[in-house]
Amino acid sequence: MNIDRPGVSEPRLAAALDELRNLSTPPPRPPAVAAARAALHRALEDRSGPAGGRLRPRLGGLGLALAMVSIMVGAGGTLAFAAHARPSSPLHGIRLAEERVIYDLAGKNRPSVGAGFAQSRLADARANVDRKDSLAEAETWLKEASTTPSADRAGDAGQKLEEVTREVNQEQQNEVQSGESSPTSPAARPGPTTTPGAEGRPGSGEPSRPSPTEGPDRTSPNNGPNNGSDRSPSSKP
Amino acid sequence: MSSPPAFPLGPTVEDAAKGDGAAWDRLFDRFHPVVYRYALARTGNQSVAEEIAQDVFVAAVKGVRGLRERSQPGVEGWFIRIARFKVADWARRKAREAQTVAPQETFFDPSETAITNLAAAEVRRAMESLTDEQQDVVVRRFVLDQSLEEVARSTGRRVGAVKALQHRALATLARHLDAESTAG
Repeated sequence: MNIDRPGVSEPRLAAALDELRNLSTPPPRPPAVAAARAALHRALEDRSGPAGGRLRPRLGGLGLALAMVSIMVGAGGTLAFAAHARPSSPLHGIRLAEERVIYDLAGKNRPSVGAGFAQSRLADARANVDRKDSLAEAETWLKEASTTPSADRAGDAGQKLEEVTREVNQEQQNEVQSGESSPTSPAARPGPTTTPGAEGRPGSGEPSRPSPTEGPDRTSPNNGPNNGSDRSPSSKP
Repeated sequence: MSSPPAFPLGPTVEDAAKGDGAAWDRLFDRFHPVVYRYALARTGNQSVAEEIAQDVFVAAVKGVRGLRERSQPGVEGWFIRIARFKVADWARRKAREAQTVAPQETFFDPSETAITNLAAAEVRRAMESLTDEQQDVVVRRFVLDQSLEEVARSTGRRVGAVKALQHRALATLARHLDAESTAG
């Protein structure tokens, strides 16, 4: 043994190291060895169990990446579907929440963004996609956009807001007229009504159902019922 | 240094990594004695050493996929590294218990590798005066008979660093033994 001894008390140190070596010579007791082997095999079985280590290594880096991508694609797909969900769809709440987030983050562009959402609902209504609800949501968005600071509503944004408001009002009037021709239609009820929840914010969970007689038409001088909508008759419900 | 294995280590480690029980049996037969001996030299207690050796193999099953070594010294060094961590855990537990439990009269079970004579007790006390790193090097060098190069490779140090560590450990041991003999 090539011990690099420091030169202090050499014989005593050598004796101590020999003693240390002797202390470590007795073999382990057979029951302890058997227990250790059994524990090893138990650990091996645990690892290869259904929820054990085999699953994770098999998954590996690539598998994990694929799983993540699947989740993201799934979530993205859900959002994409939800982006066009009709009011009667279970995914409509996600659409409202998405729009609410976009609107809240839009800052000075809120009038334009709100008008865009209203325009999208108007298109739904014209395509007879839950027409009444779509119109109601369009109006709610317009109402929301009209409460933004007037400075934000200057220029193109204000113009767009007014245009969409005019079109929505026209569409609502058409809706009322068609309701009057059908006595069973709830829209044919006489007199101005204020639907409960009309003041609700779009995207706040429960879609609001504003009355056609309320909304942006009262806040804008250009929102009269016959103010130049050139919607084709073919789009009537 | 222990004798080389009678089986090809590389394929055995690969089979073990796949969960092959027979491969693990071969690794156990080959390295359990070394691990146990290391633990016994570090702790001085047969029961504790047996328990640590068992824990080392359970931990090895969980960590074998990270084992890149396929050589005898590499695999042995890997097992000893795990054993070193287990010994450190045990030492921490022991220190905590010593703080919380009132000191009792020392009792040695004669069936164990007990410290039954003064020389052995002196050696144990002297070993406990070393740091974990110093004890590790002393046991590897003078109990497991590993070369400086093997210790260096297994512990990730340079040979010169291992030599210096060993030198300091032996100097501390010698000082401690001198002080014991003077006091005695």
